[in-house]
Amino acid sequence: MTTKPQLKLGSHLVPGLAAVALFVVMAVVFLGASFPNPQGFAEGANITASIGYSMFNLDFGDVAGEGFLAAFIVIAVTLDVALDGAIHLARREEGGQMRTILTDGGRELKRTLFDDEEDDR
Amino acid sequence: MVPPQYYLLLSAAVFCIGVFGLLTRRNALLFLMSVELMLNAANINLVAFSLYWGNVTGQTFTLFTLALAAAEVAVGIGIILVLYRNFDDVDVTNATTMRW
Amino acid sequence: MAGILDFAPAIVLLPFLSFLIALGAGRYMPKGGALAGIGATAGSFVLSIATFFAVSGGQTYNQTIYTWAEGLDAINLTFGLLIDPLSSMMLVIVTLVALLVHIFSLGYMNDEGETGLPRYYAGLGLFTASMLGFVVADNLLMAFMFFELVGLCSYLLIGFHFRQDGPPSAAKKAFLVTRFGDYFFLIGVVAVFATFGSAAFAGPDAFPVLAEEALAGEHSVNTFLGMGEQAWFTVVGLLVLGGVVGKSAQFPLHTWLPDAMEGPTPVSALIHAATMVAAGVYLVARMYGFYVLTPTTLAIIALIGGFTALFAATMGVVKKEIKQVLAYSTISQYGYMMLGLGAGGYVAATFHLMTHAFFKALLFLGAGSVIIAMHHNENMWDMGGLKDKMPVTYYAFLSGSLALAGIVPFAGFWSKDEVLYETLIHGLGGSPILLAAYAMGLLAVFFTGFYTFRMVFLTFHGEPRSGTARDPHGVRWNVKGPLAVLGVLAATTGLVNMVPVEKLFGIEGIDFLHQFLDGSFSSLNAHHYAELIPYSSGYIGGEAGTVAIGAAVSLGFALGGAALAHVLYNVPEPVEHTDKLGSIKTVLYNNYYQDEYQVWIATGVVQPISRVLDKFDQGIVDGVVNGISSVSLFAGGRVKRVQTGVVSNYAALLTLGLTALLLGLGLLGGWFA
Repeated sequence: MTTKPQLKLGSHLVPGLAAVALFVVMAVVFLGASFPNPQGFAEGANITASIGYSMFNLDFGDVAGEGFLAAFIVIAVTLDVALDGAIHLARREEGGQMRTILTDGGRELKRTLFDDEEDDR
Repeated sequence: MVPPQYYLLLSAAVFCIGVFGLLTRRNALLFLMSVELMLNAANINLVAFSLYWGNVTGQTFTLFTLALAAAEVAVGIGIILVLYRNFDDVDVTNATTMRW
Repeated sequence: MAGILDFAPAIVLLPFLSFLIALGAGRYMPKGGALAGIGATAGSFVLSIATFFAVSGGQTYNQTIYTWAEGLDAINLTFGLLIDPLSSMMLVIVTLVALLVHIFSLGYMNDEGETGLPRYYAGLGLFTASMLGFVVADNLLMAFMFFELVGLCSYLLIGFHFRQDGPPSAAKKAFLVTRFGDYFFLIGVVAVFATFGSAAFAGPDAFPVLAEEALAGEHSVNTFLGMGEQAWFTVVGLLVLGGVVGKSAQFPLHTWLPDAMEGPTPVSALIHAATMVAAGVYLVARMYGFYVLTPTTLAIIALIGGFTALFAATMGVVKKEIKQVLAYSTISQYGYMMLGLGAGGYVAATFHLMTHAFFKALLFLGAGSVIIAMHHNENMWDMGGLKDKMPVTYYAFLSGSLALAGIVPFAGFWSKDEVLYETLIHGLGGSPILLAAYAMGLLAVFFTGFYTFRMVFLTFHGEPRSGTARDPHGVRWNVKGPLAVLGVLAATTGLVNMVPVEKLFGIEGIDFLHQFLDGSFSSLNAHHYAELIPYSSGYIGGEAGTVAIGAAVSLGFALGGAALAHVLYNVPEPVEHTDKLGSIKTVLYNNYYQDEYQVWIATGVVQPISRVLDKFDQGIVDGVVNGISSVSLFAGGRVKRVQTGVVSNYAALLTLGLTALLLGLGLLGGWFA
């Protein structure tokens, strides 16, 4: 049997009012703000190529932009670290024992001891 | 051209939807999705103002943001896994060991 | 000038060394460190004698040894040595008495099997060292510091038998009562610094000299409270005098001294003869150039002295314990010294300080000998007939008693007579206050003679009145030796200053002490003081006639007192005659209710005030502090609940905060206009 998503109403939605309030404030501010005329891109300019050039600090693009080579390298390293971190977090030790993460407040240890105790009994 | 107010309103709406999800949901996975929404609200602004100023910096920056979002999700998923292992649940309100 | 005086610091340091040795190694040494103390004080004594002769030859020494705080505006706080005739004489007295007390302690403490001897000898060493430091101090602040050390040591030694009830209480009383006086002294020291910018006793910026010049209008000094210079100097002098009255046990701060008899008897000898009590009088003599400038202060000193002399002598009349009698006689004798100083008799008072040191040390050591013999029973009514059993003690004690009573030719006669003579001539010169003080001093002579010989007769004469008196414990050489030395000194030291003989028979040059104290620094010698004294002299029938009359009257009173004691108590079976005094007896037994009224002041006046202040402190000052802390604790306890540990709550707070921030910024920045 398939279930359709249902809208659940209730008191758990009350904190969401904060988000609504934030939206109202921002909307009022934005609507009240005035901007000068937008400049837009030149007709027929190659946006994608310009992005590629600016990423490597090359000055060949049709549209002006800043150099992002350093940021590129940093992001590359960050992604690598994030990947390693994710694998590290997700890895499970052989034998079902968790030794890498010890943030369980001693729960696992307690359980082990309790089981042992039961075994002894 | 579309005036920038509309872009701003759109991004504010997306951001606030993300916040709404963050505040009302208890599932860690839904949290991750909400956070994605909030990040992309920022991206909308970046792209919109890139066009507005006639400069590709904002768009380039958006690419990096996307990459960062990927990293964040990777780490986030790892954390959720650990959360599940420790608390047998992905309900974020259960994990209160760091309260006062 | 490399001379013997360059070794003067060693006089102070040797006893201090013995203190360190007795403290650190005393328990590994034979006799519990006594030998170190004896060696050190003997060394100091030899050096003091050498110093004394060097000073007699005209040498002096006034050096700053160590500057321990350098002031920004030229006020430096220093330690220094001032060796002049007065201090060199005092050095000899202190080191000699300390040496004899150390030797006597061998008999009194070691032979009696006392425990805690290293502590005892350490205390004696420190006591001697601090008194010597006080004696050679070249400025008022250093004098004050050693003055306090002397007080501390007396506290330690009076409370030596700290396991009994009496001594700790007596020690506390001595400490607190003298501290009350020292409080004024401390303010006086600060006042001297504030007024003169210097507290040196001698040298170019000596404060007595500065005061003298200021009064002569040669330059100005700082005065406070809108007073003139004369009035302000009087105030400063009286402040310092507070310390003197406390230490020298003058009325009304004399109450600690009789209680201090709880200490071991050699300590009493040291306290009364050479150190603690002498410190007060010595201080007045040391800065006499300052006191002599303010007639009001001098008159107050004289009046306090004369009154104390009489007042204490009357209390000594009824006491039963031998040491109590001696205690009151000490208060009385120091009253004479104050009287002499106040009456302008600087040399006379110094002379009495010296002779008293010898005969009072002798009497205390003699009493100690008797107490050993009596197995530590001090009640004179249990004694009697000890004359034949312990002749050395008896004759030495008799020599001291004759000196104390002021019978010619023993030491006390010459000095006491000179004190009274100076008071008389300056009183006749137009000062009724001095005449009144003289009358009190003269009356006290009678009581002195009476209680002294009452003590002698009860202790040594008549029939033994108890088993222990019949078969007393023997004493050894280490008790008899010091007694013999002091006995000879008590009989003869008066001969160094035979002013009456000089005046009567016109023999020039036998007032050796006068000549000695006239030497050295021009601002510190007796001649200079004599010029400054604000009194004029008057005579009855010429100078020689006044001398003769004064001496005859005081000798007559002393003999009268002795004769009365002889009639009443020199019988085989003496009985108490105190009942004949009627209601006065109760008053005297209770020491004029001095303790009672001082306790009443403490509990009736000071305590309620303190209680109110305590309420204020506990309720308001502490209340505010405690209130703040409990409010913080309460608020913290509530606010910490924000930290729920639930991510959603943090996110909600962040959102609300951002909204509020935007609203606030918008309202301020006019975004909603």
